Amino acid sequence: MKYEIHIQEIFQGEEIVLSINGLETARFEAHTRFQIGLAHVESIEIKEGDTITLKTEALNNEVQVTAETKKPFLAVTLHDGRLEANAKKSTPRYI
Amino acid sequence: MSAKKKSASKSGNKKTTTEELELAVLIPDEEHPDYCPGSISGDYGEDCESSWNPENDPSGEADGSEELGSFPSIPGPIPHPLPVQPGPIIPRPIFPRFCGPVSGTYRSGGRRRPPFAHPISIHPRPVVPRWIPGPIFPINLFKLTVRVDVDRYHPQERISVEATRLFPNQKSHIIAEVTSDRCSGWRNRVIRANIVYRDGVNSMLPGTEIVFTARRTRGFGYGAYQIELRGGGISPKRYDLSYTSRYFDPVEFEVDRVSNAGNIVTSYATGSHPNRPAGLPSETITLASVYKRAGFDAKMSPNSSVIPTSGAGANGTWSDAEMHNAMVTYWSRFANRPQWAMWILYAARHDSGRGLGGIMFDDIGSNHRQGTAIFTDSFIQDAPAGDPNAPAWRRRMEFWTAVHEMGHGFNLAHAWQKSLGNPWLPLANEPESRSFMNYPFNVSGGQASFFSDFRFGFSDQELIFMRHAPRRFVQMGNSSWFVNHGFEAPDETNHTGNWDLVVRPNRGSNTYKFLEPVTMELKLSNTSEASSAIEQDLLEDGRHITVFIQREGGEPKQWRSLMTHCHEPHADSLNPGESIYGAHNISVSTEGWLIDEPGFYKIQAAIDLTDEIVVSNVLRLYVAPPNQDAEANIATDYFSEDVGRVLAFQGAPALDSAEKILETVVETCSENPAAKHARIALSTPKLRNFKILEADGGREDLAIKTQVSKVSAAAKIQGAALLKDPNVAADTLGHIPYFETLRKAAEALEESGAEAEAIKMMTKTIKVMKDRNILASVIDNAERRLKRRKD
Repeated sequence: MKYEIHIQEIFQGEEIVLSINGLETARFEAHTRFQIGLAHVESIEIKEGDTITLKTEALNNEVQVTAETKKPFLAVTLHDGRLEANAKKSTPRYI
Repeated sequence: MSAKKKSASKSGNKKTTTEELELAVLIPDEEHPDYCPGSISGDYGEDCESSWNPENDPSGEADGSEELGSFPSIPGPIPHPLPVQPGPIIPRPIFPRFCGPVSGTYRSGGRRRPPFAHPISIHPRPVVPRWIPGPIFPINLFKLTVRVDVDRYHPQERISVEATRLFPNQKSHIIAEVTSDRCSGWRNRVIRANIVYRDGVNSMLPGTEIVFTARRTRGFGYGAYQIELRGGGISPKRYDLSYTSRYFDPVEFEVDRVSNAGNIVTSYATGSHPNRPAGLPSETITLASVYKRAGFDAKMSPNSSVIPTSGAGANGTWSDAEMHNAMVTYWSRFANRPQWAMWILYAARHDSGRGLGGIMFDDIGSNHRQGTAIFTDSFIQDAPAGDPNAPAWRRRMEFWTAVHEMGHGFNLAHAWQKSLGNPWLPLANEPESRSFMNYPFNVSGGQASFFSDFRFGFSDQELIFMRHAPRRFVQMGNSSWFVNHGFEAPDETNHTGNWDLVVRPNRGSNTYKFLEPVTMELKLSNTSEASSAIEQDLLEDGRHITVFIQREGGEPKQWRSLMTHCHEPHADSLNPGESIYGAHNISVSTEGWLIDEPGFYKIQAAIDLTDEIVVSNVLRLYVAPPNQDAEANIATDYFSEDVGRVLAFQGAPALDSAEKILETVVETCSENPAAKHARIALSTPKLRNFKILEADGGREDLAIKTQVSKVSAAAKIQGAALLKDPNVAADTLGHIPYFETLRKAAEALEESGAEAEAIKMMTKTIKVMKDRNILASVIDNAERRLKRRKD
């Protein structure tokens, strides 16, 4: 199923490593555009129960979630050096 | 919005169809609960509403200020007996102490125009305009803009002052928090405020406190305004002000829509959705009216246009780059410079998809925040299930989104991001604020909670920023997005491009020896395509130019010529490409030496041509340290006002002490270019019978004595000083004084009967002119004079 990872706030050039079930899938730099509070959207294909891991190597911090088909959107934030991830049923909204 | 009228017009580079936007239908200001009409006899500290709302004053009388005293009592018997039978005692009427609103913008300064002829186009029959010579007013270079914010809509109890010095270009900005706002009777409103924020050159706006006074002079309105800067040990500085506007800055919004954006929303009837604050007035607000209440004189551009969908490319959705291209193409005011103007685009959908409702896309290039976009086919159309009035909800959300994106154009960040990035001062996040800059769905209780308490405005932090921050932080196209955000860099000159003023040393090097006076040449050129009449002596007479000199690391100082010439005006035609020139010793001013110590200096000049002030380039020069002990030893005596006068006047025998110092320079520092200046100054008075006013015996014994000329000896000294090493001499004196000195020496020789010597001097002078590539017209003149002497 299609799954969207929304890298939101507050990213200022950190490199994010995305892995699915331990296998690195993508690596990208995130810069939050403050006028909408969004840095990057990564679209992936996953199955129910897959383990999604996001890591910032520079901060040695990672977050892991288990994919749910009823919540196909993941909002990821970085506060005080800690990654946080919240799965959502509907697409995050930005203005 | 329904299109009311369509017509063809030109917007930017494209012809488009224009549509009129809906107008605001607002309740009168005085009836609006968010409007504060003024001050009633109270100190600051009373809530504006409570001082005005009669419900809080059951007696029906206004409160008196304890400090001002209570209302006057009914007077006793009239002190002087009437010549007829005394009548009844008539009490004085008691007027409530009410001061009307004063919030808005005030200005001081302004240009005072000198009464000399201005450049005009020369017609086939040129007519030299007559004018009456009068006192010359200096260019008024210092201006204040004062923003008073104590009443009207959402007062923030602030006074901000923006000082601009045109030349040299300096700015200063202060913001003060109001501590006292007194309505003292019928005539005065006095507001005191403590300065809490500074930006720019502090010395331009010294002190710790501001006192703003509005005074009634005649009738019911205010007629006189003044601001005083005081405190911190300074002498109070007072400036008279003139009222400019009830708003803080003008701004123009241009709305364009893509043809498939559907009906766009630029207005909203606040009473249309049932979920709203109790007591919220029912009115139709617009994008402009929201920002008017935020303090801006907001206007909608008449160039509202419909844009074809082709700009979105093959995918039909808009990228940031495509929107930026559309802005460049269709916005009638697009320019790569800061301006109080913004472009608002209504499009269907962004490349990101339905999840993006709007964006301030213009964070690319050098001028940010000029364009915003609202996407009508996005989540902002998704009313919550079961909403009691889904159409009104959509309309409100689209309107809210538009104002929100425009807020980013004013450099406002999201309410929860205030502490991030580079705020203009430390700010607190406002995650629960009921502001256009907060996401309605992010607050506790979601959008229902948000709109139940939302009054279609901005937070206090946001209003203070928009109204009072240094304007470059707020103005579109100025500070980059998110830099100095309120959150989340001369057009005083009215530059026409018709004139160019250059200040130059007119020599190979900008390095001067220690003690060497600096002669600066000014060149004013007609860069237009038409001839202009101009006073020929404008640059030379010392009255019309303004020069500033700043030693790097020091304060700029204004140079004032020790001599100004008053002469019969004579204007000549200056054709396109032609120039007039002037030269001055700028080391010495009426207030002493301005260029003396070793180091780097910056020089800039300006001239007021009535229609504009033309400002020159900035010239940087270097004064070297002393080369020998003799130079250092004489410096203290040399850099005196009297020596400066002798050099500036090219001789002043009455100042014999100063002349002795210059003789010492000649003897001990003969290789220093200053020695050439000294030789010229010491010898020039001897070229003629020099009159001296002697006052040794006091006022009663004033006598004019004449020093007999010694022309031959003086001319010989000057010839040696100027013609033995002509390049060194011309470099240090400057072309204009150099050749002028030689001309006068030759004339003195001729008048004294030494015609052969005069011809010889002039012949050598012309050779130097040619070797140094002087203007052909100058050489022609000299050759004609030589020919007349020979004939």
